[in-house]
Amino acid sequence: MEIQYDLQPKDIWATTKNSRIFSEKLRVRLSYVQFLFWPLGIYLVQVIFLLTDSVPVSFALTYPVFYTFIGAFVIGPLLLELLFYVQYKRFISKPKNLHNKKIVFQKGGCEFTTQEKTFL
Amino acid sequence: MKWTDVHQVIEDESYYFIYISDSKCFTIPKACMDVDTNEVVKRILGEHVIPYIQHHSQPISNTLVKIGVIFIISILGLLLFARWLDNSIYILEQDAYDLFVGIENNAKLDELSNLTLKESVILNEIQQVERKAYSISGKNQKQAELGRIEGLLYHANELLIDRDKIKRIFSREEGEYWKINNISVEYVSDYFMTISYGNLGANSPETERKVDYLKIEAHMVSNENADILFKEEELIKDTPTDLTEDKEIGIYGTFYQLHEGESPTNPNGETIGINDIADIYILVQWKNKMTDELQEEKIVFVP
Repeated sequence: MEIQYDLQPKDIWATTKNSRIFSEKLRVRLSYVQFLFWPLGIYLVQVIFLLTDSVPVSFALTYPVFYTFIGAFVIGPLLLELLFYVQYKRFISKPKNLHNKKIVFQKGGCEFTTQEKTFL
Repeated sequence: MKWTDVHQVIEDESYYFIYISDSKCFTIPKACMDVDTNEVVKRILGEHVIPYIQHHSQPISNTLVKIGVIFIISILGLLLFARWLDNSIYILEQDAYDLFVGIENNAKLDELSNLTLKESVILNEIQQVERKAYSISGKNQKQAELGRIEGLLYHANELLIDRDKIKRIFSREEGEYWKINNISVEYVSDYFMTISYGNLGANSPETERKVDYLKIEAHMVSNENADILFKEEELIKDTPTDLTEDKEIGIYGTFYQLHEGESPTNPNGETIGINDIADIYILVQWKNKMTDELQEEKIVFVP
């Protein structure tokens, strides 16, 4: 059985959302970024800036905690969403990423035909 | 691709997501199939692929993402605006002008003598503007502008001191062997207190000679009779000093920066203001060749 179809932009967004739930690799990578590298990064950047301003070390270590919290749990997730959105917009801006898809179901497997790479 | 090579299949209300690896996925919208085809696809995938997961996803909406994007842009905009406000020499200039009555933009430094400080201005307001000017001075290139504003602030300080300063003179009441001119106390609430002493000179034949050792202790007595030692200084210690023929020795004044938390306090830890001082006395201890043992005199000053 052969199915030919075109994708709509909303289908690509749905793929993004689905892969963020079911792709183990993407999930782990996002967790590292969201909960480790991003908070640690913004904390360290603030500490370094404060230390170069010659403030006391205790102040330099405690002052950025609040902003790190805001950065990690408010700005970070929104920024990540923005990055996904930009990536999605770039992907759908090329028509060949959306059109002329074909899938053939056979007895032993299936065969995909696309003009371009998949979104993920 | 063989069925066994398919990583997983996820089915939700609108799609089949066929994962050929953990991070590579093909999407088949159900909308592109009729009902029968859909049933067949579902049966084929269900029979051949493990795991086959049926997932009920939330309705897809880009609205939240758009709200998020607008929110981020707004926050970034606000941060940039706040940063601009922080470093804006224009705002600093306006803050400095706000301290004076009827000042015109671009007031020249040589016109400062005509400026009048607003009655409502307090020290804290001037200090806030000064702190802002200090923080900007390292970053801003308009040093000439900054210099002019710093001149304005300096003048505001002078005007505030002239306006709020309380000055009291404490005159000598008792004292036989030593003389010190009057003690003056200048005080601006929450800003500073300065206690200035005159020179110390001999006042009798017994002290009008070479002095081997001379020490003073300055005390203030509060209205509640608390005795506060606020200055202790050895004026002559190792080198004998000649105090004959009206020669005098200077005593450095005492300066409290009240806004920095320095202030004379009574034994209960309460701050002493200028109106709390009942009198001031200075204990002079000395030794010379006539008197081998340490002599002491108390010189009292009253308002």
